[in-house]
Amino acid sequence: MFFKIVISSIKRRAGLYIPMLAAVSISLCLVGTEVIVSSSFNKLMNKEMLKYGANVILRPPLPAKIYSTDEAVRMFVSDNLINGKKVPTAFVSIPDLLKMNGAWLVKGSSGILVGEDAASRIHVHIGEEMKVDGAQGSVAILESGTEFDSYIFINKKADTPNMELIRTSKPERYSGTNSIILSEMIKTKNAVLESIKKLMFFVALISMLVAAAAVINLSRTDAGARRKEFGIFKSLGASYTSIIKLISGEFMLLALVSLAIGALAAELLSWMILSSTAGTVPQIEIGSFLTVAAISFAAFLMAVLVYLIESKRMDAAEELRNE
Amino acid sequence: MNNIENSADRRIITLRNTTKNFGTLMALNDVSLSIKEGEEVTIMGPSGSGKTTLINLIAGLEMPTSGSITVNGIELNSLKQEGLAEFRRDNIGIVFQQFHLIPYLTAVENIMLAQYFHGLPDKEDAMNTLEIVGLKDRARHLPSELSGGEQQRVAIARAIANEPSIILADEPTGNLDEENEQTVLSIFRQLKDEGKTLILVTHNADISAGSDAIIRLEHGRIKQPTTPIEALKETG
Repeated sequence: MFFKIVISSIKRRAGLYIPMLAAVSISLCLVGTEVIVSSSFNKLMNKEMLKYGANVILRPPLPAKIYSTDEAVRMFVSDNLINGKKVPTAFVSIPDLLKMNGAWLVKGSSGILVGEDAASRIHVHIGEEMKVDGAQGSVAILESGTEFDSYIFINKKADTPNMELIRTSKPERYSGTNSIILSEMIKTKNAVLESIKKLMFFVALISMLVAAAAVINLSRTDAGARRKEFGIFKSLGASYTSIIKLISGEFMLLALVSLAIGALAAELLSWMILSSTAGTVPQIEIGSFLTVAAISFAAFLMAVLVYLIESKRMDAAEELRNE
Repeated sequence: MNNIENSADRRIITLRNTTKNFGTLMALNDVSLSIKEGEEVTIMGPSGSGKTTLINLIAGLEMPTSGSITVNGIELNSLKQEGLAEFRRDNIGIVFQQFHLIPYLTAVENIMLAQYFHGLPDKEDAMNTLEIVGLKDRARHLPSELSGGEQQRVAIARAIANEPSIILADEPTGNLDEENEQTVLSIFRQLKDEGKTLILVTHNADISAGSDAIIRLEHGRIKQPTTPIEALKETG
């Protein structure tokens, strides 16, 4: 009987509840999209970052092992005096070295890779012939944004490595070593994401305020019109609690419907945004769903509060007096 | 006063020096009365004399400004809102002039609504109650699809759905034509025969003809106890 009363009442008030439902669903869609898209972007960019990895240089003595999920390149490093400057020079497989960090930029190609700081100190340029430590070739320049920019790399496998370069996403595994993290990229990523989030949050906030205003106004109008109905309920022996239960039932049902519509629309809109901008699809996340659900129930809880106040104020005898 | 007497004499409703004010307006002024179980009592009087206020006080829909009201052994003054709701559920059935059916529920659902608040909605029982008022075949109609007389019969069925001992009716035939008035009155007579206590508010002296007592109200006071025959003479 409870659901019969609730559903019949909702049907009767379709003209009032449909705009309410629409306002809340649109708001939920925007909030949901904001959460899903920013979370998806974050995941996407983190995944991309993982491709580059964070680099850890292990100083001697070399460790007995590295973690199975990490990759390592061994090298022999010694200081060389070139053009009167002391420059750390490493024997390493350059293709293997460059695989360690996709963000490193190499200009030119050669068996001799000179970090851009080192090139500046010893005055060598891209494409110049260079001879160092028995190796000869044209100069390519490395721009890594790390301390390797002060190195020279010679493409020769180290026979007696004294240093190891490890690619890892978890540099904390190798405590006490000198880790080079892609901090600038992370900062940029976070800044971009923050801007997107702020913009979307602002839009979502406005839509939430509009929805809240719509829910409260429509509820107030309807609660006033329903005073007689509450009076009839009271004359039939309904307690204040049982009236609130019926009203809550109506709004919880509306909250569920708006949640379903809002969440589905958010997923669809997120899919459109992500597939057209990032070539990816959104994942269904319990966190996003719970956020949207909480907002939906909060919106309709406001409506229940309006009815609660109205039914508390209502004088059943006054409402039922003969007109 | 002794409330527990022989069942035939048992006073089911007692008002002692009851006054009800609405701001500066005194709707009831120091009214004392008692009604026996199974009696049919008519309350008469001009508009604004306090008839509806008296009914509302007995139903526990309003509280007296002073004085006390005891219904079925329950001191209404001592009850809070939840207690009053429970009292109405268990003891009172109310019929209004404007019927006050819930417009989005069918006839049978309106009856089940009263049962729902009482805790036991039962469709079969609700249908049986509709049969008592001769509307079983209209069970699935909304109030808007029923005539005034039919709506009032549904309202009566709703009032008796939980088998209350007291039926309060405020101008129950005020919006009905003569034919429907007779139908409704015959239902009330039937309820009286079943031992229900009936309190009818009316302007219509014909209605009061069959009642056991008439309470005449004027400016919130009981004018005088009247017999049905005297009342008929007065109204011609």
